[in-house]
Amino acid sequence: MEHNLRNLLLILTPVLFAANLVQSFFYLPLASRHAKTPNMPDALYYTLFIAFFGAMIFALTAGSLPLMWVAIELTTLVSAPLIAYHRDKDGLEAMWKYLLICSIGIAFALFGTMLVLHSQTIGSPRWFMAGFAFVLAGYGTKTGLAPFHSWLPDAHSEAPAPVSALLSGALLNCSFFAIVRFREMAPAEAAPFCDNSMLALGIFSVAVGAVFMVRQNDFKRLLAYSSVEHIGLITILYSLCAGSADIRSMIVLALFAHIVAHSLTKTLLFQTAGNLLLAFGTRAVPVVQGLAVSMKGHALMWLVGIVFICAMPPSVLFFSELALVFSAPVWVSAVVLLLLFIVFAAMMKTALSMVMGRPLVKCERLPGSLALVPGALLAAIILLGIVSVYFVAR
Amino acid sequence: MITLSEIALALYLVSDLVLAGANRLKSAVRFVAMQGVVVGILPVLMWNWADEGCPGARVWIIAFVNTLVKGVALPMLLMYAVRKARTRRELEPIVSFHLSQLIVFFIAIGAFAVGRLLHVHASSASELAVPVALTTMGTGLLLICGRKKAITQVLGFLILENGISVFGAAILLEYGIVVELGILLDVFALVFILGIAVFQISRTFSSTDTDKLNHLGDTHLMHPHHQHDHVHA
Repeated sequence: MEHNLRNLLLILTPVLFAANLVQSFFYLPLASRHAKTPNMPDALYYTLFIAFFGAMIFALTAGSLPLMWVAIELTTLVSAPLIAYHRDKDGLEAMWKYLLICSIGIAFALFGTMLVLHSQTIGSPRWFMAGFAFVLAGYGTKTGLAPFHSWLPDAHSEAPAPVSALLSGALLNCSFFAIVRFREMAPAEAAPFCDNSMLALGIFSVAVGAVFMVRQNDFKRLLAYSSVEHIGLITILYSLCAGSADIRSMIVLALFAHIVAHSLTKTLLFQTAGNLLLAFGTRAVPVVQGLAVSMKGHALMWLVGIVFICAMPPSVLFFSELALVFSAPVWVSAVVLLLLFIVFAAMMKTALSMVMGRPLVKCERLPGSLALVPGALLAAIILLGIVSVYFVAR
Repeated sequence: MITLSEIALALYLVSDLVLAGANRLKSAVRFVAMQGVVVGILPVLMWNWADEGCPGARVWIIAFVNTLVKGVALPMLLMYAVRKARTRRELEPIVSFHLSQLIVFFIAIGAFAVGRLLHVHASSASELAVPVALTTMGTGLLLICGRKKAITQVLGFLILENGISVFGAAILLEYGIVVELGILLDVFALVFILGIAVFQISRTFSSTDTDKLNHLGDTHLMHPHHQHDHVHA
């Protein structure tokens, strides 16, 4: 499990990095043309961007647990300045919160790592459980699990689009992998505690995501809360893995499919949102209207992306969430289904209000190159969806 | 028998209480520096000299680098930040200084109770070590949550980190030199970046009170007109 997940993320992370690096080439020149305050120099941006990728790969490949801690702290350090790319008040505030909250989380994770290593030397499951609780809170902060998620919407909404996409698509998975590594080490007595606490945090994350998506007037924050929701779903799926052996392979497959599909779709959405921000100069949903008239291509990408992230079939997420609902205990399925319905309603209302209607303000014409990467991602997720339909039908 | 390491740990406990009540930032930085020096030499003090002889090069190198970074480099950086950001005192803490000291006192009592419950003394170098580590972590968290100045929050983080290091030394955890130096490098870089952020905050907001950093959130979005005045790209 741990081995397979690592391999999957080692393939997925470079793909996301490449997509966002290419998008940065097209995005940054326009972002600095509109800026009121001078942005970060391009050379520094690319250095940090590549270092961020390197730190994530380091975190995935690190052998020992403390070394993985070093790597994950490193991802915080190199990505924090990227969040304050626009050197203004809001960017600075988002960066400060990200640094402080994630560092406290990471400090807890170090304490948890110590407890877990100590529990192995003295062979005590009670120490392991204490350690896992700290690890879950610590790396959970970085993963964006509620109630430790408070940095996430600020950072995701203030960062430039390619950085938001990489934070959401790649970084959350990497720190989730850190939690998985600890869970896989759990002695049999501690396993139910680990699974139950992950299940509880997962459900709470989906709930928080759903509640804050309702009447959300900032379209990048909407996507950020959607990330909280999906990381919650991934955690629930993972906590179900320990169940009976006959459904285990199905859940593992669903988990992997969910991670891949969420990362690709969320990258598409963040990049599209970044383009809308360039065109309209605001993240306010009420201002952005009539995309179907003014920006046809982006309207298509936005709408299809939202439909797919809400797990409408043919999205891969439909099948993974179906697997979750089938294999979870009844009350979990019921709660998750209700919350997913709220998410669906909230996201579709926002997306439709942006796409439909008459344009309120004149938007700027964007060069076609900005739609290149999201267009390719759109094709990829549709293709993946069709393949999954074919696969499930057989 | 009272050993040298226990005197050092008792010093830690006292410094936690002092830090919880310190309102002059410079003296707070000095106490954090003292904690840094103690945490640096703690592995040497806790070394079982009688049975194992002189510790190897690994212990000496880590102790030296730790003392240098946590006891000298970081406090100097913070001192510079205090001067540069022109904040001398923490004036209106969220949790008052006397109450903070009382809270740390109760945290210490709780930490000793937890230490007794978990029977940590059986597996640690000193009976004092784990309670002191937990108290220090609690003090750090209290300073992060209960103070407004950005620099005090950075200090709080450093105290939290010191507490964790004391815990590591207490349970005689050995990572190997690469990891130890990696952790130290991370902490150093983090405090460095936080320091830069403090400069930028004091320049942009003309204050280092973190309660000025309250613009982002979900509530103000209920009024769409509010959005127009902070357009970005």
